[in-house]
Amino acid sequence: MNILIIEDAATLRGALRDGLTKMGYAVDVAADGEEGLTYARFKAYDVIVLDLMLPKIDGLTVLSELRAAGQEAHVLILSAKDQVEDRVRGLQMGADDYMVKPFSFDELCARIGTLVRRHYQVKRPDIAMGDYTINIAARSVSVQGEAVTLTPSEYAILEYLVLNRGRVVTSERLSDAVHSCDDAASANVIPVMICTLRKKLHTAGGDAMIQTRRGYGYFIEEDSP
Amino acid sequence: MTSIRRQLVLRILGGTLLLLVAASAFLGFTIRALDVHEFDATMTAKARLLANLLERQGRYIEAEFEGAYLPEFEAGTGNEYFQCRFMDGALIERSGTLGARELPSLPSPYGGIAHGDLVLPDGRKGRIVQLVLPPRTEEDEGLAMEGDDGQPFFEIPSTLDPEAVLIVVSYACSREELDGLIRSVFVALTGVIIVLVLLIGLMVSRSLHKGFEPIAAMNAQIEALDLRTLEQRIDLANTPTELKPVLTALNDFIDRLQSAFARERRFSSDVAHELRTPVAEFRTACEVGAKWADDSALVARQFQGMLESSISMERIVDSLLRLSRCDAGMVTPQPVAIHIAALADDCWSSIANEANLKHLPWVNELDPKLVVYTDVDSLHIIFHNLLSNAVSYSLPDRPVVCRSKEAHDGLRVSFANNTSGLLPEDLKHLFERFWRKDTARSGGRHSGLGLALVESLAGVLNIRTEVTLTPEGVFTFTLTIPPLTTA
Repeated sequence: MNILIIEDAATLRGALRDGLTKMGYAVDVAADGEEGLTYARFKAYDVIVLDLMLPKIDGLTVLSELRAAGQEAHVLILSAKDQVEDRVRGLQMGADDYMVKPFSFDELCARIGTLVRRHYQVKRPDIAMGDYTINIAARSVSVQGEAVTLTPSEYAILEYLVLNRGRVVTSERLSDAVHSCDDAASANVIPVMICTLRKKLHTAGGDAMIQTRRGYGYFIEEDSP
Repeated sequence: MTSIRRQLVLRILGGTLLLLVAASAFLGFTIRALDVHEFDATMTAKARLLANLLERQGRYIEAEFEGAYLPEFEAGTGNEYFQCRFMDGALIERSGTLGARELPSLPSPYGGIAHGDLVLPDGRKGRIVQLVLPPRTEEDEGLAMEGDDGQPFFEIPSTLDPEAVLIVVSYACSREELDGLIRSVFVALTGVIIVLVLLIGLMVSRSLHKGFEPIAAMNAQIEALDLRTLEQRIDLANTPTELKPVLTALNDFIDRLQSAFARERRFSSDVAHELRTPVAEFRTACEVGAKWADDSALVARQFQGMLESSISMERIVDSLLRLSRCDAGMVTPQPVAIHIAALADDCWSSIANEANLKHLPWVNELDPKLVVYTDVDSLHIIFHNLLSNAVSYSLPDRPVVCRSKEAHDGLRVSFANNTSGLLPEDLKHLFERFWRKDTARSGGRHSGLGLALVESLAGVLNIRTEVTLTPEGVFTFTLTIPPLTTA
């Protein structure tokens, strides 16, 4: 999952990047509105965490420009402004959620998870697919009830494929989903990670779920397995 | 509790009572004097009548008192008294009511009339009039001891000068009638006073009640005001002219109160808002560090972030504390001799790294020998904040210039830098607490309190501040240090 954090407070920006990266998200950060708009135009994000009081271009202007450009990303406003009218204005201008600083990191993660589910039109946090159960709120995978230990990147790949099941996902899309813009990932990283993921799932007793479409990408069937 | 209405009623009634009593006393005593005068005049007329009954005939005085015509002097039935004497006291005639008694003698000049009070022989209070005058004269050669009509003749004593014979006629009567009249006058006046005081009191009370109705209405409006309804104002329609200045002043006061409360609320909100971001940074760094405590690099980064957040919060709290002390008058300047050129260099050195990143040359044109006498700590904060602002908001590669100029009102020390984005209309907001041209709280280096603190400290040091912005974007902050504090 791709997350863009547009936040001018450096320490908060860094802590969010560290924490969300650890949670398995591909996180890009921007220190002002102008930079944030550039990132958002360059890459399709699942969720954008947006501060309102930003240098150069304020958050609400960034939001309105994103919506005007047809950007579908779910936007969570993270602001020190706590007045009802501030929240209403933000939500009316196209934000999907609003959190007031200071906040709980776990709550932020939960809200981001909710936005991700909404983005992929998944109502329940746990997705059952044959032997597999993927809980995108707890970011966990189990095979026949037994938990499978995955790295955040492996989980991110599996989650992205599951959420896009029935559709072929290219390596580039997968790379975008699990790597931030700052990560210098080589071309064969995704195939290697897919290979590792298949092995872990197979070892856990799961059926082959991830299929390869040569020349196109990777695929999980709608009703797989 | 003091009541204006009660005081006014009491004062008006007291004053009215005093005036009425004085006027009544004057009127009463005037009437009394007139009554006495009238009574005396009547008595005098009667005394003259009695005197006319004495007629000198040569060496004799004929007394023509006829009891049948003067029954009031008859013994047993009369109640008035008279006596006629020569000047030497020799008796000519007296009323039968006197018997063997005499009326007192009053000092009176020749031809004069004297009046006085006395106790009548019958014990009643009386009034006496005494005339001293020559007897009526009629030439008659007869020397009979009785007149033609049988009236007695009294020989003029030989000790008296025949050419200057005077007789003393005294007439006395009761003054009960006079006293009764005077008493009636005073009783009537007293009654009038009481009735008038009661009527005036009633009238004053009702008038004041009516007159105070606008105050009662005003009071009701004021009582309806509270902190939640400060946007309301007292209605000046139908307000008496005398109350309009008071109510206008009160409305102005409510204006200022509302502004102060709004400022207070905004300030509290700004403080809370200003602290939210560093607190959020601190909390998130703590949570992330605790969640992945086994990742030493990540934990180290969170600690570094927490440190920076702490410094940011400390800076805000420190500025607020200084402002609070200035507002409370707790900053007491300790004037010392300060070489301001060295002070400016010292302040610049603390921000030189940031200035170097933007390639900002430092041009200190202050005379190294220039000395001012003021509080060094406060002036240090002022210089540091001004230079820090100049460095943060200056365009790259442009100099920050500090110079001084002697003026009639003191030494002017200015700090100038090139800036962009600042508009002339922004200048009036520069000293507002938490105001920033860019509303972003980027990095927490500037919280919008620096220039507010400069303004407050300058006020404490009696230093005047002035900001100007040229069309070319040269922003100049000028401090005018008064002559008393310059060397």
